[in-house]
Amino acid sequence: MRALLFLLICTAAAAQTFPLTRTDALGRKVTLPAPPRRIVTLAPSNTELIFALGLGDRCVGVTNYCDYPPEVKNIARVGGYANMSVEQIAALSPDLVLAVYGNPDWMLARLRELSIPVFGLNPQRLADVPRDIVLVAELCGVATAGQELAAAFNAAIAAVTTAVAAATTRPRVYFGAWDPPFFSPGPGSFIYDMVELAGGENLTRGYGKNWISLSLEEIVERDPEIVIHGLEGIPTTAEQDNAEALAMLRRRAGWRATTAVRTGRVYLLNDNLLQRPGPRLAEGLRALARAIHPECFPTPP
Amino acid sequence: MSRRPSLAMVLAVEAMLLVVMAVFSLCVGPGDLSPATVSASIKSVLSGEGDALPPRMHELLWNLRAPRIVLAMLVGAALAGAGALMQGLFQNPLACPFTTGVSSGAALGAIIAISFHLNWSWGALSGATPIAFLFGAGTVLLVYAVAWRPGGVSVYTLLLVGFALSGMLSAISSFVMIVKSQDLQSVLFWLLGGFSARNWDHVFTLLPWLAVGIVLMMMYARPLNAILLGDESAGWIGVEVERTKRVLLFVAAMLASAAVAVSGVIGFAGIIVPHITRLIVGPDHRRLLPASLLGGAILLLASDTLIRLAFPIVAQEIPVGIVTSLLGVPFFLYLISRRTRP
Repeated sequence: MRALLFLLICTAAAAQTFPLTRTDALGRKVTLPAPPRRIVTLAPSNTELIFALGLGDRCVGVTNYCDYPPEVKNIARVGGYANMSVEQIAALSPDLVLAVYGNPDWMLARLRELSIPVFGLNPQRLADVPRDIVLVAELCGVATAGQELAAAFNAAIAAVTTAVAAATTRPRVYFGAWDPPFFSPGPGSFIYDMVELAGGENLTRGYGKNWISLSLEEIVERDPEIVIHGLEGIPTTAEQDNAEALAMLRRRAGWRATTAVRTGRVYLLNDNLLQRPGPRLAEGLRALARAIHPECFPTPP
Repeated sequence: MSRRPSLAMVLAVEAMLLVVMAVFSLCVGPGDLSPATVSASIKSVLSGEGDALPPRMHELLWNLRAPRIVLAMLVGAALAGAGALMQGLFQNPLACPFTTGVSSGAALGAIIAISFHLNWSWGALSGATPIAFLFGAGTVLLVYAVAWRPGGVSVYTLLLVGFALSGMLSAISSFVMIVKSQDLQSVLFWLLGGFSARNWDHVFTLLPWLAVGIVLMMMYARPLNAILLGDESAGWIGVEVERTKRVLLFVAAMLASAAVAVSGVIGFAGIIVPHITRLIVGPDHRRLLPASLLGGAILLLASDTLIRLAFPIVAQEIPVGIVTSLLGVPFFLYLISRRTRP
């Protein structure tokens, strides 16, 4: 184990020589002449990743949706996720733009024409997150911090899976909204992975897509035992919100007949911990596991 | 003209088709409910006995599937009826239930409700429905107020004002959608229209509007025929032209607003059904209106049933407007191609 760790650190150190070339998730080779000093991130998950690596002071531009950690509120905004201003980004003279799959291609192309290095991430599965942590850390010349953060992430995941290993049940979980469209994660998405790791069985098992738009009939027929709805930035009063949501679903046609609603197992969780494929997913996984298997977590969070 | 089928026969065929489709639709969908199980459940519900189905399946059948089927029929009737009225009133084959800005008004209302998480309730309904209705109906009132002159209102002015106001409302809608783009998916889903997750509350919201609308449109069917000869000629034969126009315009607007509020913006049904019906029963509104009502119900029920049948294959609830156009337009083109006169 120790030898392996030594080897890892050696490769990490070897990777530190700049100019450094890596292939991004959009299939492009990106070469950085030196560790970037001015980074613009084009998704909340990227912003959280940069800050978790301790590089917050190098972050010079973020999207309108970036709200974590709180320090980002003093950083320049470059627009939305799909409609950022190329001009604003260029004006910040970044030496790295950290994009994601979903930022419009043609905007990223404009940035490349301006000789701004654009590196794209596309985390789909849970395992992609530690991979991206290591990759981005190497690009930024902080490979060791990346190895540590990835290891901590994996350890946090392992702690949750160990805890729920004691569970004797595997309840059916519907993760999604209770107003149409009823989009629910399917096999191939990281939220699907997380529900399974948290000891639940996704209601979308058997479908072959990343996201499935279920019908309410389908949901009632498959009968979830637990309903989890991600809500943006829900605070500490979650207990009360859960009760309100449950009372509302008890009046709703269809929903009121499901086992989850009849047995009162409806949970609101902070969506930002579940839908942003960054380092905080480990925290999100823990929240999911606590909702699905409270019996495995005797102490309060 | 003598070859036109009698109204009674057209209505009887349409009604039979509707009943057959409704029963079929009740039997298909998730849950493996066999026709025998469904018919047993229908019998027990009709006779007031307890249903032998497990409660969850009873809920699925009677509080999800049944209201969805009924709502599809009612919305189809409302849109087709409103479309037939608008085409008559404006003497324009491209007029539709949304011609005076109902859809852009209702859409803006829904977008505001969804994007700002407004949760007004209106009777049993909440969410986007009440606000969409208010905005839809409000737009028509505004259009009418701007176009009105002492002595009457010209349909051309109504068209122009409606067109201009729609443009402005759409611009505001786009602005809200861009600014609050994290809700884009919910907004789009609502805008494209459909009957996903609707219940009896939606049915009972639409029903009174539809009932009043049908009574009024049948009362004014003959005066509407006269107006087609021109306002002046209609006046000579004793038709109160302005009152007829005003009443029918508001009937159409209320029907369209109520339909949009419960089901989103379902395009094309309101244009295509009256045209198809006109090719079959002719232009007399006393025949055209009732046949269009049932025709609209058939088209939307057929579309929604297809969507529910396709669900296991595409793993998506396809917005109903897409299917309506795919089903209705080829049939319309077929009828047009068979017409002998230019």
